[in-house]
Amino acid sequence: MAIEQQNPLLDAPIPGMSLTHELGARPWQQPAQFPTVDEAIEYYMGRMATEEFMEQVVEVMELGVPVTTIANTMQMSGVMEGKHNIDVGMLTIPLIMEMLMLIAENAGIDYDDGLAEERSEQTSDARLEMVRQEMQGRIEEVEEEPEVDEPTEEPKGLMARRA
Amino acid sequence: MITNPARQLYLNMDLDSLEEKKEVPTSGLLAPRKQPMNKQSDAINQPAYRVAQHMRILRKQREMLKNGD
Repeated sequence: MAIEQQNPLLDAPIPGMSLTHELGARPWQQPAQFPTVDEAIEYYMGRMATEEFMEQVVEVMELGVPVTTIANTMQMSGVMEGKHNIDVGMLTIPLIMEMLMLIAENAGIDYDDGLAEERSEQTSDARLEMVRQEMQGRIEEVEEEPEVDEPTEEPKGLMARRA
Repeated sequence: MITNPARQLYLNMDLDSLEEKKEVPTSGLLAPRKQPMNKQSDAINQPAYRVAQHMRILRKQREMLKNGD
């Protein structure tokens, strides 16, 4: 018996969406780069042990994004990049979560593990927007350079617009 | 509909009752090293088992951090 869905799923793929590209054109349609769980674990542990990754992920966890969301996003991007298949991804999720929690505890931050109770499985849009704005602000800070006042030359041509 | 299975997957990993690999005692040069009839349980050969072993190591580290060791 089919279970009635409470909310309409509006972001689901439409029928035939997978056929809009040539077969094999997408990374996940190619043989996986890390076909076994052991290889995938090695890949993730190596990536997560870098200083750069740890700094970034600590910032994200500090902003309140649950560990479950980060772990699922990581494995999903691994599948999309053709690193491993979805089955291997599912098996690696608990390990990714454990590693993320170890990183957070090592950094001494308060984090949300996402295990507390059964709740809405999706991170709220408001929270994602908050994280997006925070990250955007940081990017702008880095990109912002001191402005140098350059002397503007007034146009002298006949057709130039006069102030 | 489950969009993020991470919670269920994590909670399903029962690390406390993880089966240990048993060392088979052998004596003598001609003693059989592998006993095909006494195969270790299939669970040990599953990839999930290896994931659980890795998890246990990380969890021990976390507990050590919590206890301040």
